[in-house]
Amino acid sequence: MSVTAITSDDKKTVDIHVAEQFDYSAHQSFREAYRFVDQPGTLFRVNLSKATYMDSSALGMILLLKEHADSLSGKVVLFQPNSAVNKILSIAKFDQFVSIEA
Amino acid sequence: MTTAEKLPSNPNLVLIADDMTLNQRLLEKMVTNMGLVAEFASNGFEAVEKYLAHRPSLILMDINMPEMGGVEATRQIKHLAADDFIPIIFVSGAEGQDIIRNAIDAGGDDFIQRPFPFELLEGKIVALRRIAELYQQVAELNQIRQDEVEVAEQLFSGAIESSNVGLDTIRMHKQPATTFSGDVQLTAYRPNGDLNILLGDFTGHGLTSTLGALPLAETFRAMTAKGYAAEEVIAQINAKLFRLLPTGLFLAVAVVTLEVDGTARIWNGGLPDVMVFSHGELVKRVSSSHPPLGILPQVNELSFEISNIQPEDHILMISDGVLEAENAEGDMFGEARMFAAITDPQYRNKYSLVDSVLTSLQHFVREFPQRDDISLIDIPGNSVQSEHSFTATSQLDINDNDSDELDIWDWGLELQGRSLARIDPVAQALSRLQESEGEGDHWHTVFSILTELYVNALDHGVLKLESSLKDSPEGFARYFSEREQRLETLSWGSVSLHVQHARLAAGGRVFIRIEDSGEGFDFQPWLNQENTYNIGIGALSGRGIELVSGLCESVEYSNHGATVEVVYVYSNA
Repeated sequence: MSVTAITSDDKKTVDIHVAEQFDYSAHQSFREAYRFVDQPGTLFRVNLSKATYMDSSALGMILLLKEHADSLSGKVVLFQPNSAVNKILSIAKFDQFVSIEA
Repeated sequence: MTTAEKLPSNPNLVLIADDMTLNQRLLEKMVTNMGLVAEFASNGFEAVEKYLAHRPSLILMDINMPEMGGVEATRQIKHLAADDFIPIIFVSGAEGQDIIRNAIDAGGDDFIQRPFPFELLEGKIVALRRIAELYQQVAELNQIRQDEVEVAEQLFSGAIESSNVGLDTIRMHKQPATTFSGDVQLTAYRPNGDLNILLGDFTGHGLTSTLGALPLAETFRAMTAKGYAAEEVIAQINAKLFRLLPTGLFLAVAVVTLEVDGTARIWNGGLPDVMVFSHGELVKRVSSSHPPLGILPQVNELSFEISNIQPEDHILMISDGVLEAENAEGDMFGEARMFAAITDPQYRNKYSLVDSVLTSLQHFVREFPQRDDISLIDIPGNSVQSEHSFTATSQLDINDNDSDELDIWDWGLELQGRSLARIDPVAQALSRLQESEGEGDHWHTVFSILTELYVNALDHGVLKLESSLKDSPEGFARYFSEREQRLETLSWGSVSLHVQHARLAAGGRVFIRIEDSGEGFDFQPWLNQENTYNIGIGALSGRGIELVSGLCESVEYSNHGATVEVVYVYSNA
């Protein structure tokens, strides 16, 4: 699996870790990581520290996650993108609607 | 019979290849009991020949035969069958793991060693025939899919990209990763001769990524043709894509408007930097300033970069597939290599800008498979030069409207305060004219007249910008940023626009009156051609009135210059 998800004990936070190549191949497992989470107000933390590459379909997956989080009145935070991944996020101006933390 | 694909497979025929007559008889009996028909070969050569002649649906193959053995025959038959699946079961008394491995390596599908119970071989035959049938179905479905994709591809390129204009100077290159590219390249003229160029990159590639391409192209073309500015075209495309595309599918896009006077207005939403090169040197880059379209319900403030482009300059737009193209070592092509190719004099003397980049890119990736669509657009600064000239003023006499039939309509609009920053009355007026009077080249001229007069009223009358600011290239940029700023905080002033159309015997007359709330200006020197140079009008300003005077039958200023009335007459070709 290229994506792993860990739910905190209080079920309020889901940590999603993505692998080196964050692209279409992760589509299925990324979706599986959050689709059954229905706890209102859940915080989804996408840990990008391992990702060395990210393409536009990965951006699409983040939008889908955000849609899911919004429906739960939850939140999405992107964690620790490396400089290459951060560049892609900033070209797409994702900082305008998703929190990104170093 | 030279090729294997001439005959369809014979569904009930089983070929038995064995040099021993006794074995042939035993296998025939079993095959016949299964309701199938047997054909025979007694060595490898014969097996290949019989395969070609009869196209059996399955082959039972002995290993040791004279002339040519079963392993070699299998290799040849599998080669001849190419994409067709012909199941081959080795039936042999020979023992040893090497033999089995060789047989399977040669293309055999199963192996059974003598002696064996008949039920076992029967089971293998039934199972393999079932697999062959599934294989056949998959192959047929795949063929249907392939055909459909090809038809759709033709439709796509025909409908979307064949209407592009300006291709005598603009160089476009597209290299899809699959049949369908997620990249879209569009160009269209505004009625005044300005050129809008769009490079878009939909999420992913292949058929699904092109779903948005049709509405994108339609919106872009229709709105550009009606004279809308790029801001409005982009906002409309965003609204349309937001409504149509599922979450996760969106469009990274950059738009360049190259205006007739050499001004380039560049906007980037999610693509790599759009770059301007002058004599091989990078002089400007426009980075993404907005999320891709189709994500947010409406666009934020759109910030355009404005620069003055010389005829010998080049604007380069690229998709991320260019920079992210990988070679076998996993390195990416990157910006540094692209610059090297563009600035290298050796390349520059030999190739165009696009070819320089492509040649270098090709050299870099070699045979390594392409993962993303690659798109490049090179817009030379001379792309909107005089070639697209205004339609000549008509020769029709205004006074020859001696017909008694009265056919006149009026339309007007007054904008006050904030609405001046929001509404484009020129596009609305033009769309009225087109809707009521049909299509025609003369509307290009009317668009130019309306635009010049309206911009004068808004810029100088309401926003009180000094035209002389535009005398130098630096002032030129300052003029536009000042304009943006004043528009943003605008809360006073008004401009009214009145259009009257009268049908004439062989054409029409358009009367336009524009009135602004400003204090007017000293218009006399501008109308007097002889004085133009005496009062020092620079190359970058004051051409508006001159242009309008050249196009219209009459131009009259009143109210100290705050009101202008013009008459334009056209004839139906």
